[in-house]
Amino acid sequence: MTTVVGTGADPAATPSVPAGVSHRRIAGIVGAAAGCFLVISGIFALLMRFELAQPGMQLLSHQSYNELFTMHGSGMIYLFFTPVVLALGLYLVPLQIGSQGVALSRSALFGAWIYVFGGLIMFSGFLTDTGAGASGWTAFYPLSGASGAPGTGMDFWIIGVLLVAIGSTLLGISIIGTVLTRRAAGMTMLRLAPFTWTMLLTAFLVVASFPPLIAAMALLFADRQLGGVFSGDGGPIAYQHLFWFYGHPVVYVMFFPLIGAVAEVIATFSRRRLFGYPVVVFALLFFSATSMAVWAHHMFATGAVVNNYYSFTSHLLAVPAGLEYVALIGTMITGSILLRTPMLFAIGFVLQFLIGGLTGIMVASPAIDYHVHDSYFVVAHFHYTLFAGSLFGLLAGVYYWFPKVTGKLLSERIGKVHFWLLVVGTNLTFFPMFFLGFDGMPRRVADYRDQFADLNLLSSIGAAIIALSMIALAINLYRSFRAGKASGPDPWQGNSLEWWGSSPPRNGDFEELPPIRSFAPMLDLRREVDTAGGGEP
Amino acid sequence: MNADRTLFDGLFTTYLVIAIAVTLVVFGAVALALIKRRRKGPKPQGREPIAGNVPMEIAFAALFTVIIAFAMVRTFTTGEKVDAHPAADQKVEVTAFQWGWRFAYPDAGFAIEGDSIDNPELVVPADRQVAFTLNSKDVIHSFWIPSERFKRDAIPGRTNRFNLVFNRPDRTFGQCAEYCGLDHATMGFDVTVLAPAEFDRWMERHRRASAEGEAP
Repeated sequence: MTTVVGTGADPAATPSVPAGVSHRRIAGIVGAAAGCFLVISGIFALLMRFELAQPGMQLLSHQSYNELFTMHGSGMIYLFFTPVVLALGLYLVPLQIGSQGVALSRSALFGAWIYVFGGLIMFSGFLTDTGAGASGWTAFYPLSGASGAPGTGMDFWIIGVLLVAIGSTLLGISIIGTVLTRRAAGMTMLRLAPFTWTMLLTAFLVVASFPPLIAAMALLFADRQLGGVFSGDGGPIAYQHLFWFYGHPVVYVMFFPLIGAVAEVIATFSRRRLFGYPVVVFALLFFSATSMAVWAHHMFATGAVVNNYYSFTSHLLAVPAGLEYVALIGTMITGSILLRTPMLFAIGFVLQFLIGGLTGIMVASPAIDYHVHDSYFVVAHFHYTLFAGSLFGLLAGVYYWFPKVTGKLLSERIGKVHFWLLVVGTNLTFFPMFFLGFDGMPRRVADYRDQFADLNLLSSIGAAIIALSMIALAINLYRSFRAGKASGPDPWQGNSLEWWGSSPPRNGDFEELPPIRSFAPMLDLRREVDTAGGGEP
Repeated sequence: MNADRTLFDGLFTTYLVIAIAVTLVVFGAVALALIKRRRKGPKPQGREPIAGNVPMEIAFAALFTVIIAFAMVRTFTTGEKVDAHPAADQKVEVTAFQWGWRFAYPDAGFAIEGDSIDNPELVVPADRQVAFTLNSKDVIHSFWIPSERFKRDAIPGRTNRFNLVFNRPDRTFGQCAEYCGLDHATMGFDVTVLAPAEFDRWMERHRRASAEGEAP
C-alpha cells in the first residue's frame, strides 16, 4: 500500500530522488492557512484601532478588547509570520539548491496539518462561553493560571500554541534536512543563495527554541489542571525564562528569512550579485548564535535577572545587523538599480526596519527599558521591526516570487499604489506610538488618559490607510490570478537557481542544471552567454 | 544614587543621537544610490562590479563595535546608579493587586489604598531618597511613573526594592504597565510630590489621624 503523493517524477529518470510529498503542496497548505490567519488577525487589529481612536469605550468591552489583542498577537506570531516564512522556505529552498523536493516531506506534511488544526483550536476559544484566551500572546503566569484565566478558551489557546509549535518544529526540521542532504552537485554551503542561508539558520532557531515553548505550554496546561508547577515563589519568573527562551529567537525567525528575501530582491534589481556574500554569511551565523543568548532582555523590569549580561548580548547584535546593512546598501551603491515594485518594498524594508532596529538598541539598555518597557514605545518598536520591516520584506518577496509560483505577472501600477499607501499608513500608524509610550501610555489597554487622544486618532487613521492598501494588494493578486500577463520563466533576471526552471515550477526542472560555480549561478550563466555573444571579456 | 529622571535623560539622549546619526547616514546612502545608480532600461554590459570588500567590512564591524561599546559603557555606569537602593529615611511599601494599589508608610503606620475606579494617591517628598518595596497579591503588575522614567514589576512571591528621587513638587500619574487582566487599563494612581516641609506636615496629619482611627 503506497501513500506516495507525488512529485510525479519518474523514479527511473531521477533515481536519486525518493518519492515524497510535493514541497509545493506542503508550502501551499501552510501558506494558505497563514494567509487566512493574517486576514483575521489583521481585522482584529483594525477593531482595536477603531476602539482606540477616541478615549472612552465605544465599540468593545474591556474583556473583548483583551481577547482581541491576545488573539491579534497570537495570530500574527504563532499562526502567520512563523508559518509563512517556513512555507516560503519549503517552497523556495529546494528550488534554490536544485532539488526535486524536501527531506522528510511526510513529517513536514504532518507538521503542516498539526499547525492548521492548532490554529483552529486556538481560535475556537471564541466559541466557548468564557471567550478566547485573553492573557496576551505571552500568557505570563499567574495571569494564565487556573485562577487568573479560568475557562476553556484559555485551555484551547494553550493546546493550540502547543500544536502549532510542534507543527512549526517539524517544518523547520524538514528545511534543515533539505539544505543539508538535498543540494545539487556543485552546490556547496558557500554557494547557497542568501535566502537559503537565512532559511537554514531560521530553521535551526526554530528547532532550538520551539521545544522550550512546547514544554512551557505542557507545563502551563498541567499547572491549570493539577496545580503545583509554577505556583511556587519562583514560578512566575521560571515561566518567563521558558517562554522568552522561545520568545526572543522567534523574533529572528520572523526576520531572517525576510532579510534574505530582501537581499535577493536588492541584488536582482541592482543587477549584480549580493555585495560581500561571505561576510553576510558569517554575520548571519554570528547573529543567530548570539540571538539564543539575549532572551531575558524582556525581563529587565522584573528585577530578577542579571541585566548587564543580557544587555551586553543584545547590544552585540547591532554589529552583525550593521554588516547586513553594509551588504544591502553596498549592493545598491555598486549596482545598476531598476525600481520595480519588489525593489520598492525591499527599500521600504531597509529604511523602516532601521527605525525598529535602532529603537531596539535603545530597549537593550536596561535603564532606558525601565521607562519604555510595556509601553506603546515598545509597541511602536516591534511593529517597526515586524510590520514596517518584516511585512515589507515579505511583500518584496511576494511581488518578486509571485511570477515564479503562478507564471503570471502582478500589475506594477497597482503594486506601486499598494506600496505608497502602505508606507503612509504604516508610519502614520506606528510612529505616533513612540511618543504615546514615552509620555506614559501602557500597552494592552482598551482605554487611555485624555491627553493621549490626538496621537491615537492619528494612529487609527493610519490603520485605515493600511487596510486600504491591503485592498489594493487583494485586487492585484485577484486580477493576476485570473488574467495576469504570462511572466515567462525568469521575468526579473534573477541570480539564484529557482529561476532556472519553468514558472510555475514543474517536476523535472532540475534534471539538467547549469554549472554551479557561485551563489549566483543564473547570473554566471547570463554573463557567459553575454561574453560568448561578443560582449566585453 | 538612585533612579532619577536626569540620569535617564542623559542616557536616552546618547542613544537618540546615535540613532539619528545612523538614520541620516543610511537614508543618505540609499538616496545617493537611488540618484546615482538608477538605470532604466536594459542591464548595462561590461565588467562585473566589485564582489565585496572584506577590509572595508571589517572596518565597518570595528566602527559598529566602538559605537556599541561606548553606548554599553554609558548603560552600565548609568544602570549602576539607577539600580542602587541604599537605606533611606522615607519608606513606602507598595502592594499591587487586581486591580488597584496600596501604598503603606510603615514608619507612620498608615496606608492609602484605591482601585481602578477610585485611583489611589501616592504622596512623596521632593528632593529626598524614597525607598520603595514592591509586592503583588495575585498576578504580575508593574509600577510605572512615566515622569520619573522608571518602572518595576510587582511579582507575587517576590519583593522588589528600588529608590526614587523626585526632583521637584509636582502632580503626575502612575500606571500599571504589566497586563494583569480585565481592568488593567484603568489601574492607575495619582502621584503628588510635595515640598519636604509640606510632606512632613502631611505625614504628621496622617499619622495622628490613623492613630485616632479616623480619616485625616
